[in-house]
Amino acid sequence: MTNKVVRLPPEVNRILYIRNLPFNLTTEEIYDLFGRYGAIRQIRVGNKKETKGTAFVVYEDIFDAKNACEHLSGFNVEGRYLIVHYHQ
Amino acid sequence: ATPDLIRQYRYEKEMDERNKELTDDDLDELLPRDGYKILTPPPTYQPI
Repeated sequence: MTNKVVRLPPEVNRILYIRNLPFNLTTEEIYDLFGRYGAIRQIRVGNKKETKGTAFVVYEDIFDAKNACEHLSGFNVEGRYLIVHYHQ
Repeated sequence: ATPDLIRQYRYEKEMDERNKELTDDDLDELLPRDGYKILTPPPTYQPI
């Protein structure tokens, strides 16, 4: 049986760059929001004027990151639509 | 080996590379430290 080998495009990777994240989310809420898609390796949240509302979310598995990116792009969190890109 | 097997082998080797373990140092190289806080996972967090 030859299963169709689905090659992931090169820009797909385990690190997502998030923008438009509400400022007041707790750590639990952030882990809950992103943890639904797979095991999380690390999350960095912007804590300065110029980085507030942005975050880097690192998944353990590249397919979980892809799944999260597809589902969370444009996802409404407290009235703000998340912008999700693969970290380059 | 058939072309399929070769393709499968190459694919798996590539995926191993793209999914290999990321150490904290790797992450520090890839991600900014300045302006960002590394969240400590909440005690309630259960990786699925």
